[in-house]
Amino acid sequence: MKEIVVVSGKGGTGKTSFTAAFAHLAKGPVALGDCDVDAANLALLMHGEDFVEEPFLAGKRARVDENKCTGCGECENACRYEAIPVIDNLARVNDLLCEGCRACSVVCPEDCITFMNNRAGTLFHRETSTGPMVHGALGIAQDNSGKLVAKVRADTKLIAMERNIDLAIFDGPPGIGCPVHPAVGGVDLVVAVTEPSSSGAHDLKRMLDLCDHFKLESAVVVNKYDLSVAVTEEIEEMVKNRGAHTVGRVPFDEGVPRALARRETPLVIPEVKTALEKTWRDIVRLLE
Amino acid sequence: MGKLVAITLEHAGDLDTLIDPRFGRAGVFLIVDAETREIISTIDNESVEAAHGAGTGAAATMSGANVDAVIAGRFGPKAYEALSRLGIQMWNAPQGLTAGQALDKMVAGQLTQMQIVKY
Amino acid sequence: MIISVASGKGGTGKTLISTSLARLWADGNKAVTYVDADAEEPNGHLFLKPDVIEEKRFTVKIPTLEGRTCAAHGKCQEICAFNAILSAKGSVIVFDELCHGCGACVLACPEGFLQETGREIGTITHGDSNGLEFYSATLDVGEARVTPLISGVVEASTENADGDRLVVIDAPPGTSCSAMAAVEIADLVLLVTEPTPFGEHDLILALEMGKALGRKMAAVINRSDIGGDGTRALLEARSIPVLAEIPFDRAVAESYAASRMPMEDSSEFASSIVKLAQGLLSLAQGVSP
Repeated sequence: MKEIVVVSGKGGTGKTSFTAAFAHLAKGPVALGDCDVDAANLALLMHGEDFVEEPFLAGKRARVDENKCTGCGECENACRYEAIPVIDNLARVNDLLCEGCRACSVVCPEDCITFMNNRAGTLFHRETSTGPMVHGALGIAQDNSGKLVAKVRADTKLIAMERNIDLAIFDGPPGIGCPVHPAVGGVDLVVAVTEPSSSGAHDLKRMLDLCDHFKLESAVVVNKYDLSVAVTEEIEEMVKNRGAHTVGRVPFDEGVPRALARRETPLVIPEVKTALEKTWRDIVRLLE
Repeated sequence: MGKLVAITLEHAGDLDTLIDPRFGRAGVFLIVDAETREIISTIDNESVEAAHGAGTGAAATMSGANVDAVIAGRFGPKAYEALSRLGIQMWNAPQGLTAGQALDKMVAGQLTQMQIVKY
Repeated sequence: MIISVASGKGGTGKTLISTSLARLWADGNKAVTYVDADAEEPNGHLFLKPDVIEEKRFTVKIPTLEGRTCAAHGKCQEICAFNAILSAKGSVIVFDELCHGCGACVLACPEGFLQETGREIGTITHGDSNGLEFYSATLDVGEARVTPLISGVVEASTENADGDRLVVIDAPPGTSCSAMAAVEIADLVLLVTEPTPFGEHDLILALEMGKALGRKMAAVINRSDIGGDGTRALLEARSIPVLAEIPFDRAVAESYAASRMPMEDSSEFASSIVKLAQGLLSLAQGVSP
């Protein structure tokens, strides 16, 4: 099975809409995984029925036995996250700040702090017109540690193997931190979607550094290239000099956001479709 | 007593159970005496559900079980570092083998041993 | 007053709007600090082009035995919730990238042998952009945990800010712990959104974050003429004031692409920012805009 992850250092470059478009352009069924769990949007474009919905547990949160707590404040002093203030002689846990590190329980003289599983989000399996899709939604203020991303990726691969699907495409998280690592580790190709702005170029460089760090093959597509042909050329030059591939340019079209508003992919705009078809052909060639 | 070997399994079983390719997120560890093929114990891998550091967590379990070697399909970078530093041997087994087959192959020198690097 | 500029979704225009607001206020002779807290992808410097005053390496705490041999009780390994420390034959093995610096192992060590030492994970830059105080944080490539660095730059930039100073924090996208670290301290959260289903979906999450923190919130709708009305309806239903709507303007996109301040290239955009700035100040004074 081949695995592709679509990423962008910077948000809003068109990563998700391109992922959906690629799923439609691929020959044969595709297993899709939305690894952008902090803003899981692929499901808005890939219509279908969720047939599995399960809670996703990660980490622990402190719980105080109110009958035993004397409000001594040792836990408050030990906690580096200001997550367990003593109010009215009782230690109270702020779940938004608690990291479940257990420092409070080490110092508690009454031994009255325990830890319970934290529901960090929800995981879904969906049936779409192009094949199965796995997506997850992280709750507010949760540690986007990568565990849910890893779970989305593993489930996607598992379903693909069960159904003999030989291509998996992942919508990657933005940025270069924790959630990105499990999304990109070991994939066959990283497709970076960027835009012709100094911030786009800046973030792309950091993304390519990350690909080098993990020794991954990478390809770059410039979206909305006609907003600045000069910057597009600079980006393509930089990509080539670094030994990465360029896989086409996609023009800006005001019809794209309007299509997205109707929950359609950019493929409904003819010029954009032509460009994306070329990009997809280049990607397939790189995979072979 | 021979060398103590931990073999990854997806779920509790015996030497006829298929190995789990993953180390850090393996289901259970079967602890076996390599010489006598006697099953010493079965340890649940508590790191399966860890948000962070499943590999190092599982390595800690190995250290606690005093094993000399581990057989798994693959080892993540953190697990590799941890087991290296703990001086525990790592053997790569191809997918589809039972625990017993993997053990026999290891004893016969037919599995690849991962090199332990000094950190 | 501290304003965090946040959005559930990336690419809505957070940096465009926060740098523009900071520039406008600074040019109007107000005391202003701009803080780029999007430490994974900091971009504010591209537009504000600050003169760097100081670059400081940022460290987090990690445990160490400092070469001592311990009795290997294993308490440190047992207490660590992040599997970041192994106790092995009288020494410890610390996995730097997994460590949260919580100090639990130090507290748990029965011999009191564990100490803490610093480990560098990124850089905090302090600069000046024509009278505007500038701070930014940059995470080292390959590092995984960005939240401590974000808390670090927020603290560095706000510790000496008096009440009259306007601090504009350009927060990272999303609503996970790293975004929280940039929003927690704010008096007012400005949500930058767009009228697409993506924008609407992620706005719901951002609204929940603001609500969970109990912060006063306001919104600005970027590219307001492209998309539907779902975002507006959502904001109205939640009684979040919309301080400005900024229509799509190719001149702004081109100006931004070239790292210029779009206020200089588009008078419509500039007047939207003026309106937004006034709205924010009236909200701060408790007057409804």
